[in-house]
Amino acid sequence: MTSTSETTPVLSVRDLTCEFSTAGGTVRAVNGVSFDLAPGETLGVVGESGSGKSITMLAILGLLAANGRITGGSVTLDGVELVGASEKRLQSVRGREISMIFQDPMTALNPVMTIAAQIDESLKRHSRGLDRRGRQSRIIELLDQVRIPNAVRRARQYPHEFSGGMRQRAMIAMAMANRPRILLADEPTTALDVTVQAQILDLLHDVQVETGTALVMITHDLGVIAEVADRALVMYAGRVVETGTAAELFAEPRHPYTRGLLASRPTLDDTDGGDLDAIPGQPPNPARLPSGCSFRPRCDLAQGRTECAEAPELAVLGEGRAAACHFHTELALSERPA
Amino acid sequence: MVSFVLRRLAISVVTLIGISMALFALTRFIPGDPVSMYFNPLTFEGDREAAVEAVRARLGLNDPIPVQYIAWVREIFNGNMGFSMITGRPVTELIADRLPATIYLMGVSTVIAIVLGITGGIIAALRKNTIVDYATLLGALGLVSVPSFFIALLAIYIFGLKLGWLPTAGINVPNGGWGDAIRHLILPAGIMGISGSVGYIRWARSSMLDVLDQDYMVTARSKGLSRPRVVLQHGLRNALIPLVTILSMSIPSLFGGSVVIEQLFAWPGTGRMAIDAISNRDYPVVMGFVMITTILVLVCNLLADITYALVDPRIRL
Amino acid sequence: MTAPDRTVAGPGTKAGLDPKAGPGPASGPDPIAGTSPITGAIPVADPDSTTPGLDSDLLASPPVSPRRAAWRRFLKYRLALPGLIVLTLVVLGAVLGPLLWQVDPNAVDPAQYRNPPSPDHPLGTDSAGRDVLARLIVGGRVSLAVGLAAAVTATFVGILLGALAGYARGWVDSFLSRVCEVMQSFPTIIVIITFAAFFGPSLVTMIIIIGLMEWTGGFRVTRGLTMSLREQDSVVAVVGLGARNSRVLFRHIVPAVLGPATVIATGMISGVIMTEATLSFLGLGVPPPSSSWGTMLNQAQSLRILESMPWMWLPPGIAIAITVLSVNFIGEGLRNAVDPRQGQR
Repeated sequence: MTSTSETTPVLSVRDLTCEFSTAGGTVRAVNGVSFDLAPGETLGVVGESGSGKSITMLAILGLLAANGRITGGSVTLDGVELVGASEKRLQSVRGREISMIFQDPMTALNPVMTIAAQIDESLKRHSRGLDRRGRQSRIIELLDQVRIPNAVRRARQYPHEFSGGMRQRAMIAMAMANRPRILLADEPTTALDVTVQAQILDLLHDVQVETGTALVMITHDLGVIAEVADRALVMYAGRVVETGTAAELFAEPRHPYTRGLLASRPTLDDTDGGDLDAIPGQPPNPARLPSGCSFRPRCDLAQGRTECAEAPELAVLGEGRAAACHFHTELALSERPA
Repeated sequence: MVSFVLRRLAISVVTLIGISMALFALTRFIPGDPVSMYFNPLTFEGDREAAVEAVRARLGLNDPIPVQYIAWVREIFNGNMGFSMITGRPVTELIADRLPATIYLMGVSTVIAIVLGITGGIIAALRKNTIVDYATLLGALGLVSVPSFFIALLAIYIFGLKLGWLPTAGINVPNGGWGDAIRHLILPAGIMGISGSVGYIRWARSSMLDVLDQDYMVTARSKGLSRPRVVLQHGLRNALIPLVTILSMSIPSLFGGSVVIEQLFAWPGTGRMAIDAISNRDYPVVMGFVMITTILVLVCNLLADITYALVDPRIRL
Repeated sequence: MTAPDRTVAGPGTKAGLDPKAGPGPASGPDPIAGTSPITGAIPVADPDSTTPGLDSDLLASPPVSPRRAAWRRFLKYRLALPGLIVLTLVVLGAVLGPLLWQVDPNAVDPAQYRNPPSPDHPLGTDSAGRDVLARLIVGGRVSLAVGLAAAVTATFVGILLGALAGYARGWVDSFLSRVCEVMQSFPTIIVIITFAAFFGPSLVTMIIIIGLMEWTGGFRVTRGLTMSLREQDSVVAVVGLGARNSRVLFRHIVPAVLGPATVIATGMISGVIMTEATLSFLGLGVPPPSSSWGTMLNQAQSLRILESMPWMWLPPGIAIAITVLSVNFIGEGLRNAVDPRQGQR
């Protein structure tokens, strides 16, 4: 990408491919994913379950399950390659340069350790300059920062004594412990109540403004993207199918899948009784992807057209704008669905 | 917490009453009248029938059964479990003499079982579906397939008789010191421990496998902790929480095992005492043994329940 | 928050440490999950982060009949078939052995006192000059018969009580579950020893006592299955139509329980054979003149025999080990066959 000083990416992912060996053979869960992340920016990653979003994030940190591995591509942090880096090197990145927040705060926190102890682990590992007392006050500071009331008392409690929203706050505090430059948030609000979701999104935004960290927000909810993201990737069946700024994606989707996602969103001005125009069919099984364009079976543009028998390349449409559809020009001409 | 402990306690007490009743009922079925056996018809002079009847009346044996049961329980509460029909010593005293040796053997073998079992189980879990894992599981299955007394016979044959490395009988020799005591302990405690480790191996393996799949393990790794550290700090702690429960579950087989092992290694414990008492038809001693075993099992289970509640922070009763 | 649940289906079952009972700790509900305040309510895992391996079932194998599929899963445990073959040989040996080796196992011959193996007596002779091979063969009959009889009795009792508890529920269930709990936390062998002490050793007593003491495995499984079956539409329907309880029990519940019950009974056979051997070894089991493998081993309590006459005690010990091991192999295979998920762990 262009390397003007302003847009030098802090994280750069190129053609990342991940495969899992299973009883049914090798499954390619992530297929040639590329993106850049600028310092302090918020990148949204949208897609259904199984589209490879979470696996991409885990792969960046080198945390794929035992049966999975990165089979191609590169991940560079400040220009330094992480794919194939030593476990020791990766450990020094995890939790210090790049932190991760998980979907379900119910299961992502260790039930038998206090919140303070779990944050302390990360501080002990990476903030070697802090002594016991220093870490203690940092923990309280972090809990204050994520707006957990009675931080001193709460720090000594166990996860089960926290509500879901509070646990996710604690999780964010833990991730921010060493002021990482990149925060990977894997559907951080999906498991929470609707009212709490907004609070957590606000909190993430505030934390980001306060610390200047870059944020990758994984979600299946375009509403979240609209609210927080500067730019977004749309993923389908392990591939990036469209990229652009949030505004561009909303105004002019250039991939039928993005269009479908937009159409299936409930909106406030949806006055005609809310019959959502959901995408027909199921997300494909990564073990048995259709040949050619993966979206073909669900696509209303394909309709037996021969081009679709071949997987479309991600065509660059402009600065930071790309779509992987043979007929993206058609979409540009057609009107955005109501 | 209090109500939970009280509930467990109530169940234990009911169990104890039930077992003591069953035991008492059993004594009424003993073939032959112990009193008439007491007066040898060949040597007794005078009216034997009258003498037997007099003793029966004095001992309360003609009272209704429930009255006899109550009287028996009252005596037990007073620390009187009767007298051995062979040596005439109080049963309480006999048991008090023998119990330390049994608890010593069970304690050491449990430690061996836990250390072996948990180490084996966790290694197998971390090396799941490798040759190490299969070998561990196969070894465990092999161990439960051979009766521990046969393992003990083989061990005595090989290490005691053929190689002459280790003593095979007793708890020590007089003035033998520590070294001697340990040498006497190796075979019985080792065999009980190895046999007992099977349960821990299987449990630790599956418990660890469950824990390794947990989300918080990934969280811990995402903090930059090394894999061994995550396994030890986060995995082990969660995996081992039910240890006390597993421990309490092992108690029945521990008592069963100690009877056999004590018999084979001439270990001066309660198990050997019980077998001797059975072959001598020394009923008061057998009853005392069963009562003490029952009480110990119930107390251990109760303690395990309470400990479990204390160990797991999520249980606030 | 509930207490650590040590009742029927909870973690506090004997299954974890008792090779005789059930599929081991792997199958029982995890004590952590069981008492966790965080189960339910929330979508458990991110489907995105699970490996796609879960889908492999969809790829595998075209439809086969359930019986064939079960047989395949049985064979998937690679030691199951060898176990089956060896056990068959052991059983054949015990049943047909006397035809092939026509030596009277009870023929006392003082001239043949403790002779080492010779062409006339391939496994030597014992303290009464009896042929060890012949005794091994008849001893196997006793050991196998006791194992089978006691395991079947125990499983039958377990199924009966389990179905009763699961079907009747209410106080019947709580009572039986409590009793089950107590039984599980009490050493079987102590009870048997006590009975043997008071009534003297006897084959029938032993089978009955083992049967009455070891029913908890069958009870737990049957109770659970009955409870879930009871909720099923077909059963609810026939109950609604006024079907008699016994009919519901035998038409719907017993067939569903048979598979798991077979696994439990198999697991129990190996346990019972060992219990019988232990009791007989202690002199509390099979009384003379009949003899089992355990009885033969009883002689090895004499150090002289143990040291210098291994032919008298090694063969029965090895026979027990081989038999129990092959039963356990079959048990593992059966467990796979009945519960497909088990094999993947």
